[in-house]
Amino acid sequence: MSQHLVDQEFSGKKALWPFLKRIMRYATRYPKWLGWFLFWVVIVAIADAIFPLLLMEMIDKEVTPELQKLSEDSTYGVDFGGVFFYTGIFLAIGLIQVIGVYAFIRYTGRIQEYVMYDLRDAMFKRLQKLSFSYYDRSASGWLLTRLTSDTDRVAEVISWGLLEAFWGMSMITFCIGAMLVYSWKLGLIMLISIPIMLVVSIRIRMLVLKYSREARKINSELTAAYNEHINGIVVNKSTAQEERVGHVFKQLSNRMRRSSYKAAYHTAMYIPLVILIGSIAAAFVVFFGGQMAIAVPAAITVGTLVASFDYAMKIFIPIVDISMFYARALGSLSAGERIFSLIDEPIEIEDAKDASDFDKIRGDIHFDQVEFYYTKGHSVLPNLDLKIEAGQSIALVGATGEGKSTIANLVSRFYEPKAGQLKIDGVDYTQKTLQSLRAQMGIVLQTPHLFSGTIRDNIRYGKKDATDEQIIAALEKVGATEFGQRLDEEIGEEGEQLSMGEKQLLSFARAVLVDPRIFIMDEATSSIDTITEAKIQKSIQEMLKGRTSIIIAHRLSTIKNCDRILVIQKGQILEDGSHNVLMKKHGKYYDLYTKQLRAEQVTS
Amino acid sequence: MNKLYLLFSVLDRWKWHYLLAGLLLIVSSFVRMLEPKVLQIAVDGVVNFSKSGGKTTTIEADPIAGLFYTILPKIHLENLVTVLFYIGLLFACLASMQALSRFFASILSASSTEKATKQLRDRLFTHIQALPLSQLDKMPTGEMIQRCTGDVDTIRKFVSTQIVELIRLAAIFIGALIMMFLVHIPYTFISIALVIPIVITAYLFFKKEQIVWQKHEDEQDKLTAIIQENLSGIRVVQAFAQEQAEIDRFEKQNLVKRDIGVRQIDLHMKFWPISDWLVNMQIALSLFAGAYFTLHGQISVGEYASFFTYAVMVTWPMRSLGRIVSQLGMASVAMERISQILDTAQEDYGETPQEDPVIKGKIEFRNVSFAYPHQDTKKASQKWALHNLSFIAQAGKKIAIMGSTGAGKSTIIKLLTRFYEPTEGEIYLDDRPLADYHKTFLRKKFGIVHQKPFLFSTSIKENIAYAQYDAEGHLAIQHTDHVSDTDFQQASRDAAVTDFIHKMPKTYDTVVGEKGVTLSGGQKQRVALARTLLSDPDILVLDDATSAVDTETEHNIQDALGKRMQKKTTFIIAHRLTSVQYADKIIVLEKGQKLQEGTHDELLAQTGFYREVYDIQVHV
Repeated sequence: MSQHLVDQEFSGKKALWPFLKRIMRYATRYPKWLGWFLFWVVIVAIADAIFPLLLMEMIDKEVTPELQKLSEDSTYGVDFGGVFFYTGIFLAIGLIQVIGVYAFIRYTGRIQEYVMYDLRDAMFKRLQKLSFSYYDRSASGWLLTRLTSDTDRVAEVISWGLLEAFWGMSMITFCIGAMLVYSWKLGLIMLISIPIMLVVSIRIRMLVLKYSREARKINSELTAAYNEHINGIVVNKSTAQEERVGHVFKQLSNRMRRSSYKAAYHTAMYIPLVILIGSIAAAFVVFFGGQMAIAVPAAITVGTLVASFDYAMKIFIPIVDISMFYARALGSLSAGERIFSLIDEPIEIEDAKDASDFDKIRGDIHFDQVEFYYTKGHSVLPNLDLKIEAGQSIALVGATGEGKSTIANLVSRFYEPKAGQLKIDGVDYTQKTLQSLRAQMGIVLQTPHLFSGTIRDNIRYGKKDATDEQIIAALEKVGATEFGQRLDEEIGEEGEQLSMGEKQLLSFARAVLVDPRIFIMDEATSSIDTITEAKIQKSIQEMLKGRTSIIIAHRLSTIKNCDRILVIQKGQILEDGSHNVLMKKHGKYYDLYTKQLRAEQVTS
Repeated sequence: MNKLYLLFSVLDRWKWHYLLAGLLLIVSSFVRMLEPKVLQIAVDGVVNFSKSGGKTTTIEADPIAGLFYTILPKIHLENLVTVLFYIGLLFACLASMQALSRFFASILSASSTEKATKQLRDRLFTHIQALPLSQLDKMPTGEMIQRCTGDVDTIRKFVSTQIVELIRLAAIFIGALIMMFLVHIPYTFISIALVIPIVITAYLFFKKEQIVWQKHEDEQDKLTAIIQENLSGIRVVQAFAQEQAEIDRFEKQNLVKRDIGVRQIDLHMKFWPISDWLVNMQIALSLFAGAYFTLHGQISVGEYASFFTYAVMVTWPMRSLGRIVSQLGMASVAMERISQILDTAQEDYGETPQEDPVIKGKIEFRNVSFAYPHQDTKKASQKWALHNLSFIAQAGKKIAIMGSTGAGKSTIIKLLTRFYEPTEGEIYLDDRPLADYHKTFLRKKFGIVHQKPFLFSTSIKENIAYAQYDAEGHLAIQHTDHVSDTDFQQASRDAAVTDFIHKMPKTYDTVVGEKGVTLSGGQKQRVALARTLLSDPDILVLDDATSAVDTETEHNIQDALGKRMQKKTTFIIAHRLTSVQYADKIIVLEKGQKLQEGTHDELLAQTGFYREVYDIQVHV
């Protein structure tokens, strides 16, 4: 609910301010750096603004009078003292600017890197806690973008963007201030030019933003195209489609070219236009300033004229910076929106405040009037009552979508009951810590996921301190002793060097190694070939000994030996009993079994 | 740096555009150079003229100022305001000229850059499509994509902004220098005294930046890899309660990435102040020298003011040199990474034959051995994927290949379609060596359905009709009255796609994959089967193609296939007896070697692997 509201709040220009405020909080975590940063921004802006003034002072107070004297008396010995003095001041200002640049880069850069770190860290931690339902609805590629490019963009706003904004604003303030003090009339010319420049700036920037957004969107299509046609290259080659997909890609890249050209076109227009406006202001300064200088008595000095001209020519720089900040902030608004919606994503399954650890679990599982649904109104389990005794092996049978996996996922607490209680050893498991439950569970999923690293690293994934002896013992239990000699082998990205069956065997060993009290196999043998499956059938029985287990299997031959077989239909238990009992019953299970047997029957 | 010529070869086609853009920028910079002159005229010609009561005339100051004086109305004490107005107007004209030429230069360079980038992207894409699988295996997909997108973008950014910038700055530098020479030669030399140390610092910075940037990219890649792996394995992470361990692992790399980021910042932090300081020193020097020369009467006050502006113009480009050079560093690293892909030799498809032979479908393996190239060469002798394999598949027959995982079944397919070539021995198609056939031709003749098929994230229809595009690139299926539509229906029916298609939200137009609905393994297999059947291959290879389909549907599919492939060679790779028992010949493989060969009955009569499997499967 609240999630929805936050998302809406962030979109549109009105969202800019809340976004900036929120992102600013990340920068304020480093008050010392931020403080020094602001200090130096002001100092450097003053130094930048004061340059033309010094030139003016020097011309008026030193060069012109000395020149005057020289023209009156050609033998006059020129006094260089004043010039030396001003040169010294220039050097000092130069030094301040140098230190300022050092400070800018040091503090801005650090804020940038640290904010990036913090954002990524916050997101990653949140991702670890989010439940399966979140992952069910978010593509992992999108999530990855949030931790990479989105983070970069947002961190830039709060670092270099901040620099642009503050420097620009201080610079403008000082420039206008200085000019108004020396000649308010010339200052007024500039004061009029600033809003014009700002409006033009923001207008064009918005156009650029629009087209670059479009380009970015096409760019993601482009990336997707690379992704698909590299991953699907075997299909392309097998069907001899290389050339055709090349043509399709060229159309896409052409669209990309057009929209980024449009963005570039408006960018190209921008700087010349702003300089032009500044130059027109400068032309007015020459015209009016010139008149003021030649008036008798002179309204302004030559130095003031030169300085005003200088200001007028320079004032576009801070304007460019400010509008740059604005565009940058607006441009990363949606990135920020994505980041914060992830950070704010409510954690559905979390330890209660007073949760205590499970001691060694015996393995009684009790579904006490459990209701569960993914979307309200569509109950997957309307009202499930089920008692599983410690040590029993339970098989769940039924068609896809009847709720078998849901039952298994509820036991693993990947989801929690919406109503009713799920009790383990007689205690509602929401009163216990998640960690202590999962540490005592062994879960094998349909698609075995392995991590890059060695075979050893993968087997001991759930128990990092396992010895090689323990690892080999686990391999023996699942009937995969041949891996014993290959522990140091690197298996590559997601175990690409291994076959599906090998991967599944390793995932069995991984689950067995932690010596779980509750064992869950969700279609775990469907990716193993039948020959291997037949071979490991005995090991599976071995693995189940002495623990509660829940097995979901498509092939009924796998689960024949389970203590209890539950036929699940529409979230209800239709039949419950051992293989022999259910076969005698001639019910649903009998139907399923005989049908499968017939199809698998080999003529001899 | 050494890869820079590659960069220029990419841009070669548009070099005249860039040059023209450069020329326009030089015009713009030249005009900009004139702007301070206008101020000089206003100060010297008007203000000082008027103050001295018409006595001081610096009208013949220098050629350029002189030129302006000829344009402007002749200056009298009476018409000074008019002259000032004209000066202002002149200034506005110059500014407009500058703006316009700069604008045209920018769009010219932008359009060339976008075209060049497009060409580079296209080249990469088509090149990758033509790479042999053995080369593609060597580079992780993610990295390859990163190079095609991120690195191309780095280059684009450099070319679009910095090449033009380089020309512009060079023009300003040279232009300002000439103007300064025209005014006062010794002053000019003083004003560029520090240029050499500035350039040297920039160069040293460039060298270091390249190294640090490379490291930064590497650490960033590692971080991305960790996140990616974590996200795709999040269910396992949570199932084993390893969240904290994952967070620790991530934080460690996140920290490394931050540190290398700070290191890069620190490099900039040292370079920019030094370079700025040198620039400021240079400006101070010019300022002082200028005052000296003015007071000695060698130049006028107006000249001093404009000269000083030029001096700043000369030193400013020096300041940007660092930025350009740093981006140049990044661009050359990116170009290096891209050229690694482009330098990889493409797959040799073989010579295009005069006419395509008619395929009967007899396949013979003669003493074929194969080891995957990317495996360790030392271990290669033990790592045979296939070892000394011989068999004949007569045209029009069904050949089943059996064996447990890793027995070498899938390798046979890769050799048949020439994704890989046998290490030893030879394969014959219709008694002609496979190598005699053009690869494209060969692959069109084979129809292969994999156990884990790849579907594109387009509609189901487009997936099935994937190979059915006409010469203009239009989907041949779009017209409902088209003949091939019946083929389409037939293929979908035979592959039992029709069984589930009505359950899909938009039937055949349902988009699959990340953008749309997720199909189950069995549904994917059926769509892939339909895709292959629609191509009407001469030789069909089913690589465990219906393993995830439920037994009843599988039965129906097999019946349909039996009818369809009656006269065509079919390879069935499977480990279920039900799938292989009716084959004309069954070949049992183990560890790349042929263990048994014969019909179902023949093999049952022997003691061996087949009989063993039979016993297991019948019993469970």
